[in-house]
Amino acid sequence: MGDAMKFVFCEGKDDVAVVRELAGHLQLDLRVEAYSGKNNLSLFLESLQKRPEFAQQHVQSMAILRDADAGAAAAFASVRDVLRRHRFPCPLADATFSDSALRVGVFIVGVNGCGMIEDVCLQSVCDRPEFTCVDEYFNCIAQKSSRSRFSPKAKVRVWMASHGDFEFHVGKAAEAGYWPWESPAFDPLKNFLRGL
Amino acid sequence: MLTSLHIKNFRGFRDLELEPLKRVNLLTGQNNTGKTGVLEALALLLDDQTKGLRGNLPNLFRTAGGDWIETYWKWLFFNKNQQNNIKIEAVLDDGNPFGMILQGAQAPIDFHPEKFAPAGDMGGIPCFLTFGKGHAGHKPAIFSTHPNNPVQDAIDYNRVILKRRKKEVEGLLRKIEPRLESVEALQTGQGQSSTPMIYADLGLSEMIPVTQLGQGFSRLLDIYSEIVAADARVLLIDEIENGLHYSILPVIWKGLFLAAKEFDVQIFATTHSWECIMAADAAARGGENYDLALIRLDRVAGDIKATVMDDKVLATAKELKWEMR
Repeated sequence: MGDAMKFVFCEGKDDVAVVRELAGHLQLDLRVEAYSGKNNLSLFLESLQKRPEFAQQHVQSMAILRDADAGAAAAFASVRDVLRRHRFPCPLADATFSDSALRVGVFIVGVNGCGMIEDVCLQSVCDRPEFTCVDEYFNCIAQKSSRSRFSPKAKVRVWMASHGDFEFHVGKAAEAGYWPWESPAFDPLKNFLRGL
Repeated sequence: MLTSLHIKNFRGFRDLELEPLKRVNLLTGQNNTGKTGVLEALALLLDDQTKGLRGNLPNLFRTAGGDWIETYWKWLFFNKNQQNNIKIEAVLDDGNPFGMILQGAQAPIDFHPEKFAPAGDMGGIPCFLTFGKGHAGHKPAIFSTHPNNPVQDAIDYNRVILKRRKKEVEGLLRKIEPRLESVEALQTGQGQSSTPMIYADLGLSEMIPVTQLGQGFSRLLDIYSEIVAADARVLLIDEIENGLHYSILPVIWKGLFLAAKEFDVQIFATTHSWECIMAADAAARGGENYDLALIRLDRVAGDIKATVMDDKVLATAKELKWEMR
C-alpha cells in the first residue's frame, strides 16, 4: 500500500465510470469509488475512517462528488454537514479543497447549478448538428402527449440509441469512448480533479 | 466481561486503547502490529497466578530461547525502555476498572509493598503491582498455535463428560467431521505408559486418537471443552482459523457464539482471514445482539493504533468490498 493515495467518491456507478475514464484521459492516478447514493453518504463516511488506507494515514486527498439535483448550494451544504458530522475537514465552497493534512474537496455535479452527470455529458455533445434531432424528438413527444418533462437520463438514452453500438448509460458510454473529454463542458470537473 | 482495555508501554504499544469490547473480539492487522501482543497483555492482566501464565509468558504464544531476560522480558517494555512502567488496565461491564503495573528494574517503587507479587517468577527483573477490585474470576485460557498437550486435553475433556455436556460437544465437532459417532477420553496401556488420551469413533475398526486427526479438530475440541466445562471466562486464541477449512467457519462461529453466551465466556482471537471475519460477522448477526468487535491494529507514524469496527462498518465494508484487515 503506497503513500499519497487520492480518492474520488461518487454517488453511483455511472459517475464512477465517467470520472474514472476522465481521470484516465487526464493521466491522473486516482482511486474512484461509489458511495451508493447521497442517502448513504453519512454511513459511508463513518465507515470510511476505519478503512486501513485512512486509519494508517496513507491518503493525501479525497473528493466527494454529488449531483446538484435542484440546487448546487443545497447539495454542497448537505455534503458539508455530513463531512463535519464525521469530523472530516471541509472545504469552504464547491469545487475547492480544505486546507488540512487530509485535503478534502467537494464537487457538485451539474450544469448551471442543477442537474447531474448526465447533464454534463449531454452538454458536451449538444453543439453537434444531429443533437437537434434529440430535442425535436422530445418536442414531438410533448406535443402529442401529456408529457412535458424529460430527464437527462432519457435524453442520454435517445442520444445513445442513435449510435450503432449504443449504450444506455453515461457510464457505459464513457467506457465506450462516446464523450468528448476535450469539450468545455468537462472543464470544471477536469480542473477539480487536477487539483486533487 | 471486559468492556475496554488500555495498554501502555507494553511491547510495541506506547498507548493502545481498545474500546468498546464485545463478547467476541477478533484482532486483525498486518504482520508485527501486535495482535498476539494484545493476547499476551490480557494473559498478564488476567492471570491470578493459579495458572502460572505470567511465569510462562515467553512460551504462551511464542517460542523463547536463550537468555529469557535479554531475549524476551526486557522486550516486554516499549522500546525496551524499562524506565517506563508497563500498565495494563481493563474495565468490567459493572464499570469497575482493574489493572496491573509491571515495573522496570530501575523504576521507583511507590506502591504499597503488600500488593507486590513475588518477583522470582519474573526472572527477578520486574515486579507486579495490581490495582482496582481485581478481575473477579475472569480466568484466561490460552490457545496458541503450538501443538496441544494431549494428556491435558483428555483431562479437560473428562470435565466435559462429568458436566454431562459430551453430546453437545460431539454435536459441534460433527460439523467438521460428519463421520464422528462419539468422542471418549480413554486410558489405555499399562503402568507408567498408561496415560489418558482422547479418541474419536469414526465408525472404523478401532477408535482413533484425536492427535491423528487434523489440527482443526483437536483445537476445536480443546476450545469447546474449555468453554463448556472449564472455569476459564476469557479465551485467548491465536490464529483461530488455523487448521480449519473456510467452508466450516460459519458453523464453527455459530457454535462459538452460542456457547460463549451460554457459559458467559469472552473471546479474544487473532486472525488474518477475511472468510473467518465474515463468518463471525454472520454468526453475530444471527444472535439477539450483535456481539462482535473487529479490531484492526494499524501502524501509524511509528505507533500502533486500534480501529474498532462494529456491525454498521462491517456491513458497509462487505457491500462495497472493502479490504478491512
